[in-house]
Amino acid sequence: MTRKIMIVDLDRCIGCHSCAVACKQENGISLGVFYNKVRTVGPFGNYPDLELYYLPVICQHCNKPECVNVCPTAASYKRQDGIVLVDHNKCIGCQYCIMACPYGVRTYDKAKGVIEKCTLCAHRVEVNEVPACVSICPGKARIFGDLDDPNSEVSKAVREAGSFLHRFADVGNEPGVGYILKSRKWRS
Amino acid sequence: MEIQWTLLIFSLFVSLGMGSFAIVAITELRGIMPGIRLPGAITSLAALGIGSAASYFHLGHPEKIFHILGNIRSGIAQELIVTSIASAVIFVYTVLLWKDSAPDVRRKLALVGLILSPVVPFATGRIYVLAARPAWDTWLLPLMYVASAAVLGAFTMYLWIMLREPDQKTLATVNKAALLGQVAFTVTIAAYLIYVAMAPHPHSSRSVARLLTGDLALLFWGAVVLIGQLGPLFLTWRNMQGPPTSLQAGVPVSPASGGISGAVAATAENRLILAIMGLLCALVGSTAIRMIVYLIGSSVQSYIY
Repeated sequence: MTRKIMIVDLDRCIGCHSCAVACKQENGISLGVFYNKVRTVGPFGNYPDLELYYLPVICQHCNKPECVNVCPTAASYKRQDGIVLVDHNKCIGCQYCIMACPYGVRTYDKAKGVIEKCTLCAHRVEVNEVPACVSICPGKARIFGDLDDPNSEVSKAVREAGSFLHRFADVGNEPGVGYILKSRKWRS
Repeated sequence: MEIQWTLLIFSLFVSLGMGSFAIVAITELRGIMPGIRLPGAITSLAALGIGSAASYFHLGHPEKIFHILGNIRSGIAQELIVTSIASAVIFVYTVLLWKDSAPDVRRKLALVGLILSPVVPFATGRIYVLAARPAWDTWLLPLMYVASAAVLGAFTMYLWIMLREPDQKTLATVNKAALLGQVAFTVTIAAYLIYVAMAPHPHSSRSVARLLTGDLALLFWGAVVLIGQLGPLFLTWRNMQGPPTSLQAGVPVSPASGGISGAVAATAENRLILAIMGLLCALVGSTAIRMIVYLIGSSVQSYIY
């Protein structure tokens, strides 16, 4: 089996937003639509003991994606390699998947009348390239690979992170993207 | 989440249509009130048509609608299937009623329609039962939509009876149905709000405090409670006060003989106004609670949008 996932090392993220820009360029995303955003979490604490971190957010490519379960046309689907995609030929723009997504990472493109979301640059993955956000990241904060391959960089990162590997709230969907944060307290 | 007006109109009118047809079906099966069946069935069809048109405009690509059977486990697919079956049943029933033919078939269609009457509004509410949105993740939500359908249907048919067959017995029967439906609606709303107060992943965006004292207080206390619950309860109670002898005689009863009840509900004209007010109150209450459902329907964690 293959399970492509992304791990983001928040200790290495400098909040430059270049991943968001690269994503828009690579995927030709409409104005006002994002597959990827960098959120600022914090600051927390009292001066001078303040802390914050940057949180790059994309579709979590869940193990049990509710967006796929609720899609009436089966336009939302999960590939064998774990990437969750939307087939725009089938999408009727009912936006039910937006309601079902716990993370607000899907958007309705009014101009196209369909749902847009992060594809993990599936077109690049198919030719053995990494997603655009991974290749552009100056801090090498993003790690992409096959979680089922114990020798992959992403598997090693997950093992080494141990309890410092964090995920978004799980309401039964089992989010796939992991966040490594050791230097500050996880608050997301 | 923002109010999805097209979906709100869809669920509101589908509820009104199915609630109305439930009473039409009962009159057909029991052989009573023949005069209200045709206007009731046409109202039901029109309401389903308005609701379906609204849902059509919600879609980005309605021309691909037949793809919707690609995943029949989806709540939207199930909603479409039951709404389509109900619409077809009511359409055939209405045509047969119009032609005054095939009474046996009509009775069977009425029975099927009666069974579907709670199923369709339940299906429209069931699509919101999603783990991603804690304030929606309860089966009390679709039950509330069923109760809403009962109220809307009862008040719609009460108005038709006032216009077509305003005799005391039929009015009293439908008034009781409206009262029962209204009580059920009030109870399910209260139960739903108790759930919301105890729902997992608490957040200010979906707190009951937002309804009771926050930015949604006017909508909740004014539209849901005062107009949507107390209004219809008061009107149904008033309609139960004293025999409406004036309906046959057309002679106003002295207000002094019946106190407030006599003053308000003595004449047929006043009772018609009360019937219209009842339906308007039911529409306002059902609309307002749906608006609140959307407005407190925030997701567990919303990051990009």
